[in-house]
Amino acid sequence: MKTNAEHPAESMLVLALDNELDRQEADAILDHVSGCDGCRKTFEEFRRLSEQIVNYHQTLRIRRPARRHVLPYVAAAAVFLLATSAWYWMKMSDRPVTQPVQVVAKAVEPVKIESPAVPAVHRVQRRPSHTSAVFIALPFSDSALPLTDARVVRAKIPIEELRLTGLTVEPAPKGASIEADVLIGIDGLPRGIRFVQ
Amino acid sequence: MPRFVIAADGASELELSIAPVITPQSLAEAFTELREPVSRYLLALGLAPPEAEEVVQETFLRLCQHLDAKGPQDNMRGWVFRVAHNLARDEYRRKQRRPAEQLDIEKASGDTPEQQLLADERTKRLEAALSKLPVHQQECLHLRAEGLRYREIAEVLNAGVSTVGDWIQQALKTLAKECK
Repeated sequence: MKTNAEHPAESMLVLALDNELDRQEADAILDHVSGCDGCRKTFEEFRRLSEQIVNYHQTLRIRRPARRHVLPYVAAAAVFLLATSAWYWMKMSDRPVTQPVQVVAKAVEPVKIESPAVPAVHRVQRRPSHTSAVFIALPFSDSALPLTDARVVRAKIPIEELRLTGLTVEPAPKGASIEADVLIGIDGLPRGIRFVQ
Repeated sequence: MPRFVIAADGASELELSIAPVITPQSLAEAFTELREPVSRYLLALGLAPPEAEEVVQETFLRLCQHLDAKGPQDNMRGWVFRVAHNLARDEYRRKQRRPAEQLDIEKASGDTPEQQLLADERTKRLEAALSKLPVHQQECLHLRAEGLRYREIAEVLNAGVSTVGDWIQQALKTLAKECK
């Protein structure tokens, strides 16, 4: 589609500019353009105008005031969250780092735990016990969190429930339960267990 | 859409289609991706912002109904632009005016005042030159500026692909003379 033996038609220049030709045709056109001042000038002019129209489009926006008003609130929320996180981590870093073994040792202390603070439903009459000396850490417990405010709750736990915590439990009759002290962390999740029976 | 075809030997083989398919589940994604380009196209055609916004909403409502009724749609972008284009034409006919002078368009720029002044001047000249072009040539250039291929532009404007090529070339030639 050449206008004469040498110069491609302007429509071909536009097709090449818009990547609407196959590679072979495009290469032929671009080769010619690179060596022909007249065609290069036309090609560059078409490209400049095309870019100008695209740039013009990029400036077109429908005003959406609602979105603008939301931005300060989003920014304020982000700042608040950052500040809160920073404060929390600073507070946490002040606390002594507690190793998992130490967690177990600290948890042994709370004899007063069966105080009135413990809900009545969980309160059990103290009896001569055969409690194990230390708490066994539950497999899913997060030892990274401190246990300075831990509590102990004595309860009868079905054997099946114990198996769900990930502990290895000997086979037992259906419905059988066991009495144990459960160490509850500040987050309300069980961390360790000590068997009474 | 991928289809299973039973080959001659009885084994099944996967045949892949060329055009992408968008399901109703990805409607929100399509809205996010196409809302701004369609808005810009409508504004460039001369629709006032409230009308453009209305057309965009109507377009995606129709898309939703279309997907609900007919299932996945090939060439979603072409379909959306075609519907928006036809709605914009209806809008013109209804109002019998081109409210370009009433535009309340945000023209974002981080340039210095001098650069902004020059850019404004160039934009005004471009707008003036564009407005002198035949409508179908303007539409071609605006669709092209939003990244549509000639095949898609032809589908939107209900014209042939080679005709679209000719219109774009004629439009650029005229603009080159006008913007010298």
